Amino acid sequence: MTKRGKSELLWRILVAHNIIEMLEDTDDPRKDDAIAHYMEQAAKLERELAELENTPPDVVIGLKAARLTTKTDKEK
Amino acid sequence: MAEGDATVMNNFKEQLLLKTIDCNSDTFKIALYSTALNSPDGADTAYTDTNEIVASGYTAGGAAVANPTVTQDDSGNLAKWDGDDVTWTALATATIAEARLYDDTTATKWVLILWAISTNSNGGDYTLSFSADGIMTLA
Repeated sequence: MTKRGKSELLWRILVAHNIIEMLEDTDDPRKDDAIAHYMEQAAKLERELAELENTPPDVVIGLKAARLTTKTDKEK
Repeated sequence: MAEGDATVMNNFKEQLLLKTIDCNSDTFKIALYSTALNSPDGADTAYTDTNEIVASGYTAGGAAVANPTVTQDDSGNLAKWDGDDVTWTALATATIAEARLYDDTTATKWVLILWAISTNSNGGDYTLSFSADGIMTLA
């Protein structure tokens, strides 16, 4: 497969996202399958772009534990 | 709020006491939003796709929390609710301001906990890692 350039990849990703947005506003029973298809295409293009630009670093976000306490402990 | 700070929805507290939610057996999901609620108020805050991110690598509704488990800790005099970390693979660039945990089993998909987020996705894997203290503790 011919390697695509960055500008072409960005353009194709933009088109895919625009199509997804348009599909979300439609009322067609095939909508979900079509959105899934374009999401998959967009993801593939994103991966290709990441490879071209060197893969971006993974993001890990630490979530703090939610806490429920009795009012006698905390709020009186 | 700092990134990772948690807010427990007041409705979740009520639903727990009404035994509407089974933290061991229900299916729970985390959805990502570009705009934060930032408030525990609201009698019926439920999952919505309003302001939910749209990006390749992300499916509307978010991702399931695998292995939700409640345990009793007598040494710490508490109960802990935990689950596996959630990862979106190759999540495309998106503005993310909040993660919302909701119950996907109940008829109304109650939002239970909010986490403040300030790091956007960048096309790499995007992981929300729960604390060693779990998703939530009751002390």
